[in-house]
Amino acid sequence: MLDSLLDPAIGLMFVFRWLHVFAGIIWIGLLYYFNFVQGAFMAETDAGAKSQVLQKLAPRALWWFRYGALYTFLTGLFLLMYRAHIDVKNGSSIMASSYWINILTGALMATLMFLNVWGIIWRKQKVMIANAVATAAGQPANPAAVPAGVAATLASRTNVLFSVPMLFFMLSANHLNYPVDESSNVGLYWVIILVLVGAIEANGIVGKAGPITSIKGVITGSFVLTAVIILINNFVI
Amino acid sequence: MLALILLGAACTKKETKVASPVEEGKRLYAVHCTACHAADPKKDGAVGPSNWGSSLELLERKLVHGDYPPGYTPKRPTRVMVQLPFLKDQIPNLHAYLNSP
Repeated sequence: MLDSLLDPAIGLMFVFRWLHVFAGIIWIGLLYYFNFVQGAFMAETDAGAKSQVLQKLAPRALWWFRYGALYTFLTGLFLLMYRAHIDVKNGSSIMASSYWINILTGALMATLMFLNVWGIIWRKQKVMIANAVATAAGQPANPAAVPAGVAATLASRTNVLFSVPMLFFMLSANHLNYPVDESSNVGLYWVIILVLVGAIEANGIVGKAGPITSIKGVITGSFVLTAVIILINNFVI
Repeated sequence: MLALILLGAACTKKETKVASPVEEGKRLYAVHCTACHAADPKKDGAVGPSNWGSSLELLERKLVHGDYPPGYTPKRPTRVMVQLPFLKDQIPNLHAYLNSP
C-alpha cells in the first residue's frame, strides 16, 4: 500500500481526495444542520432561546462550516489542477472526456456554493450575530438584521439545491463514465449548464426562495435538478 | 421519480443496431476504463498507462485475475488497478477495439 501511497500521481491525488471528502463532510453536514434542523428550531422557539442560539451556538457552527468550505475548495482546486496538469502532459483531451464533463459540472456548482458561504451567508450571519449580542446588552435592534437573515437563508437554500447534483457529478467523474468523442456536443452542453446554473445562482443572490422555502421543497428540488442535468447530459452530449 | 426518468432515458437511447466488436469494445472502454486510463487508449492516463495493443492474455490476467502474464514487464510499478471480473465475457470486444487499426 505504501508504494502506491507514495506515488505522486496516485498517492498524492488520493490523499487530497481523502482530505477533500473529509472537509466536505464537515461543510455539507453543517449546511444540512442549518437548513434542516436549526432553521426549523429558530422558527418556533422563543426570543430568548433564539438570541442564545445566535450568540453562542451559530458562531461555533459557522466557524466549522466556513473553514470546512474553504478546505474543501482548496483541496478540490488542487485535485483539478493536478489532474489537468497530468492530462495535458499526456496529450489527453480535456473536453472530450466524461471525467472532465462530470467533475467540472460538480465543481461549477461547488465553487458557487463556496462563494455563497463566504460572500453571502457568513457576511449576513455576522450582521445577525452582532445584532443579537447588541440587543441582549440592551442596545437598539439593527433594522438590517431582518433582511440579512432573509438573504442568508436564500443563499443557504440555494446551496442545498446545488448539493445533490454537485455530489452526483463529483462522484460520477470516476464512477459513472460514458463514451464521449469528437462528434459530441460538449460545447452546447456547457452553454446550457452555465445558463441553468447561472440562473439558479442569480436567484440565490437577488431572487426569492419560492418553492425552496420549505425543507421538503428544497430537497425535492435538488433531486429534480439532478435529474434535469442528467437528461441534458444524456440528450445533448 | 429519478429512477423513472433514468429508465425513460435508458429506453430512448439509440442503440437498436447490433454493434461490431470494435464498436462494442470502444463503448465498454469508455464506460469501464476511462476513470483511470486516457479517453484515447493510445495515450497515457492520469492513473493507468496507455493500453493500446494489449494482448488477449494481458486483458484476461488484469481484468479477471489482477496480475500479469508470466514474464510481462508492467508499464508502471504501482499495482493499483482493480479487477473487473464481470467484463470476462467482453474481453474479445475490448481486445478488438484496443487492437483495431
